[in-house]
Amino acid sequence: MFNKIATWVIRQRHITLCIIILITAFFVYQIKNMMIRTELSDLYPSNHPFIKIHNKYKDQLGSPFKVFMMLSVKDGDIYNRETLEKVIRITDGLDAIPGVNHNQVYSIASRKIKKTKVTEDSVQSENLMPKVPDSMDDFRKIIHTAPGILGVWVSRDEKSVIFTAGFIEHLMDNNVIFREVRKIIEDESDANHIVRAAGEPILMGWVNKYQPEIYFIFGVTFCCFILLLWIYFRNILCVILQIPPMILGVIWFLGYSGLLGYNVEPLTLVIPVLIVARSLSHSVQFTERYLELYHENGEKDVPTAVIKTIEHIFPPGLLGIVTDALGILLIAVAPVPMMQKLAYLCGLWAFSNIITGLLFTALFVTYCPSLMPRNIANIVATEKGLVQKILGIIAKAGYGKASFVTFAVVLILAGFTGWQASKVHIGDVNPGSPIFWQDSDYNVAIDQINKSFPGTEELYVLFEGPGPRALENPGLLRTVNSFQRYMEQTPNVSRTLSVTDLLQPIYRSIYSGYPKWETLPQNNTQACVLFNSLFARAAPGDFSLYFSEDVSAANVVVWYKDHMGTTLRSAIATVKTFIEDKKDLLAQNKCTVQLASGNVGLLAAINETVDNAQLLNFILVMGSCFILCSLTYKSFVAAIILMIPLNLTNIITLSIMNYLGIGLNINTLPIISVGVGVGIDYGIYLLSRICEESHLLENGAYSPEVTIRAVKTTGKAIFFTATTMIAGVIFWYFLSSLRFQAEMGLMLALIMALNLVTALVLIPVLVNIFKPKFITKKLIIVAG
Amino acid sequence: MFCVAEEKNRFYTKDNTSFCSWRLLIRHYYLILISILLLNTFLWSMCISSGQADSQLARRDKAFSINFRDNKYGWIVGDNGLALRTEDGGGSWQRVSMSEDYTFNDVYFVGKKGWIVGGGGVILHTDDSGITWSTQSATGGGPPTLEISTGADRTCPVVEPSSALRQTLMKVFFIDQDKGITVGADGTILRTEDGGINWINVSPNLLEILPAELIDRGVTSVNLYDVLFLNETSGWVVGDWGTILCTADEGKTWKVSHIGHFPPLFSISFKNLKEGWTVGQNGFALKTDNGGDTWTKFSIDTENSLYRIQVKEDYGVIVGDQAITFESNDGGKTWRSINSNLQPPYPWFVDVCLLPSNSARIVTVGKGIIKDTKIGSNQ
Repeated sequence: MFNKIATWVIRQRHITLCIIILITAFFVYQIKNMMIRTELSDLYPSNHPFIKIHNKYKDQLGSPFKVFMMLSVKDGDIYNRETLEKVIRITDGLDAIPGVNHNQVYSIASRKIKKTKVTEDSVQSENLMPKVPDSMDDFRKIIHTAPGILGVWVSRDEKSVIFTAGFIEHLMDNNVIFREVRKIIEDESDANHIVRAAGEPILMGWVNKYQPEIYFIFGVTFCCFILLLWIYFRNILCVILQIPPMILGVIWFLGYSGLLGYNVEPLTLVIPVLIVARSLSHSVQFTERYLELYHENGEKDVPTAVIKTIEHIFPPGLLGIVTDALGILLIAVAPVPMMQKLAYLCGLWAFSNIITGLLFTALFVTYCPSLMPRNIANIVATEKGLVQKILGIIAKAGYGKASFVTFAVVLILAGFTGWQASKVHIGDVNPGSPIFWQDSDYNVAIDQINKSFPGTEELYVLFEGPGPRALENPGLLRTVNSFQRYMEQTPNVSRTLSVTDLLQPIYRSIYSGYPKWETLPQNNTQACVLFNSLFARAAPGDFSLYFSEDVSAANVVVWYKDHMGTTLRSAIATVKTFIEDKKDLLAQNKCTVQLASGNVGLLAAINETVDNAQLLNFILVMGSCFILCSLTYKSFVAAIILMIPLNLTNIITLSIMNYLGIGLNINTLPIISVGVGVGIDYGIYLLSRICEESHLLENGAYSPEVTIRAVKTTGKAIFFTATTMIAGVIFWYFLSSLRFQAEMGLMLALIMALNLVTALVLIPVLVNIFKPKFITKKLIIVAG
Repeated sequence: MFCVAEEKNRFYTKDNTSFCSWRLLIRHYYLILISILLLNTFLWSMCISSGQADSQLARRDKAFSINFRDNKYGWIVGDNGLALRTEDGGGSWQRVSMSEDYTFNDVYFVGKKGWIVGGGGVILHTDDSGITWSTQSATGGGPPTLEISTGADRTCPVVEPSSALRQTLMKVFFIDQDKGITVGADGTILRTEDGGINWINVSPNLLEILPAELIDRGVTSVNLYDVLFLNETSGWVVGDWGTILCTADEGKTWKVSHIGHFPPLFSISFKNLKEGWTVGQNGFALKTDNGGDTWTKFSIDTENSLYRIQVKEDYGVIVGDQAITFESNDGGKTWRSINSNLQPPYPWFVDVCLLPSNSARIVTVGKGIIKDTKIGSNQ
């Protein structure tokens, strides 16, 4: 079949090339719609119950992704004119950022933070700091006495002030927010004042700021590809031959992005680079095999050599590309738009490698027959060079008694790394953002803010009553208060906030300020009076963080110091335990507890989705690879032999992740999936070559020589392929300022290296130990 | 089973009675390997359970009252059913499980009998040093009392206060195991002569005692915050609008010693029948040297509200907002501030207990705090 296709394609090469060029031109046109940026909404798994609750209340609660700023004084404290003027200017500056929710700008200078004054027959409420106070001593006293200020809005050491700003999700632009906040930081920082900023919009701003660096890394990676090609071929023509298919692939990818309207996520750009490397390795495999066959045929007939190469390379190449693409496409089982977009875009691109990596290379070769390299003999040599020596050693470890020793070592390794891999964490492992290094500006800001204030990580839990004004039921208020006390007893919770914290001081204020009145109302009438008292002093939206407009639902804010996977799981588990423990009380008050919003709620939803998806993803990727391999080789044993090195690589990778402190999250799950899809290729190429070599033997008898020859021939191509892939991603580790990209680069490099080693070592071992029958069968798959 | 000889992939054991096929064994191992891998995958998804820590007094806890029966046995009560007891003079406090729906404003013990009063007119009573508690009613003929265990692993059921009067009760005082008085919101004064089996409403008619100018301003209610008996017959009550009431007949009838013009008074204390002090809002304080015939202002250097005064022989202590504490070592003639050694934001202190004889300690309670201070430690 492949012979017929190959013959037709080569005979109609002008038409085929024209079609490819036309498609490419169409994609070039589509590139204008392509965008490289992060969209926060893409992070939400839309079907998760937490996200549904978030969407229900997002107009009231605003975007959970807030900006946190902290002004710190180096010498002295905040009680001086210069510092307090800065506080006012920073508050005004935040309030002026486009897309800001004016009801969610908080600081000691905002109108949302009030002080209460009790007189003999009245309670007065006024802004805490409408202007710079005349007397700093009096202001210090106010800070000390006003409830909920010191330790919340002013640090306990009285050297720092915090500012928070919420945004309207559809109006916010991370780049604009980042630019404006940076401007505030520049304007207000001086020798005695440090201004820091954190929060998701700032994080995304930093990521975007590093985009030029990404282009630099692309450049370095490209140069490295060229260098590797030169080392491999030692021939400029062969090097040039690989570039057009690579460029073609990139154009198609960018075209897909424009055509589908999917933004390219800057953080996961490592994966597209990996696909470029994959495309390159396909074309190199093709070229290397072509040269081998061309050389064997006496370097005379180019079309015949190309047809024969297509016949040999396409079956394993197609299988390899399909497994690559499946590995990537199956990332989409995680219903997170960011992951699904990545899966569809990169999956399509990986499929396109059939045309851009294999077919286009074949066509391209036919157009330059007279330019064939003079050093073909050296390129196809299997006995020279360092690589060949290494491959020789590997080949020896794969047969005879050595194969049993190798197998035993692998079993021990599998056991140990499997144990380590089981400890890998779901979600982030370190406090702060895993995207940046711990000493980055961003993570230092997070660390400082969390040391001085309740925290930047907020979980919103909603208590819904049966209807409007349901919160005037004292039983419901007591339930909310009970929940707050319950949560505050758990580790990692630094503080909680709800409407009960507003009502109790008012109750006390109404009754002479006597502390025994600082309780929740005893009956509906008292509760109603308290709510009325709240509204009497409020502007619209003042209490949107605390309760819904119709007073039917209360929001409890729970602050955490970090958003590590363990913290998030613990947070959600604690809330669920409370709901279970208090189900009678909740039923009695007709109250429903809804989880969850706030950035902690959303991140928990993402983690849960990733957690659920990773198992499904793993089963589907492994299952589909198993089925494809079984069908191709018409043997389950063949599929099992291919799965073993792959699984070993997988568990070693996870154990290394555990050792390096990298968690399995929205960013790292795709790496594992891609690793499986890409990693199986090496095994496929090697096993196919073993089959082909055994067919060449007389009487179909089996001999260990077949594995040795396969390792020394295809092993060389696999070695180059792996080196190319590693080169494609390893520069991210050395050059990227973003920890995430650096670690992912390292992880992918490790996966590629491990796949190379496990395939080259284990497959010959398994074949030599079990001598499976399919090896000697006539198959459609032949060697690469 | 150890394989010791090889023949075409078959390995024989020492006794040569059975053999194993390596190929079969290793093929089974694939399944084991895959199973381990899948098991690992399941393990990754294991949740980490959260722990619950219980501290003596959390930031959100509000302790409203402290009472020691003797040098060893004492109780603290507060909001959200907060109840703690000590049997070692305050060396350690054990949390007692009570329904969170209660607001306990005061606790008082005489021997093994004790009473707790609180929000919504709730009155709890114990005959066995607080092992079991039951509700009491103001009319004496209310619904049957509910047994409430304070065992460590049982939570009190939610009990509707059976008192005919639902007014929040702020303070309770017992002259002996039978005779007691409790006061609270809206001028409520309840009296018992049988240890609380029957509580009789002896509240004064506020409209009769309130000055006309206050009634003209719409004031019809006076909350009462403290009650004190100097002996079996003479007692004092203080409350809003500078209200000072006194009784000379075991609390059966109350007459006005002072009302109006003054801020709320939160606490009253007498050293003897003649010398007494009362403190209130924004540092306001009065004293009398003639058994309450006249009250004169005395100077306390603070604008913070003062919530509790206790004077016993030569030693006196006052606590209030912002963790403020004053002490007197000359029987209340002069008062000086004590440094609380706390960091801002300062909690309020609402009650203080002079431990019974010879311990020379005071225990102060407030928002999120129990503070044990040795008398004279700040000198």
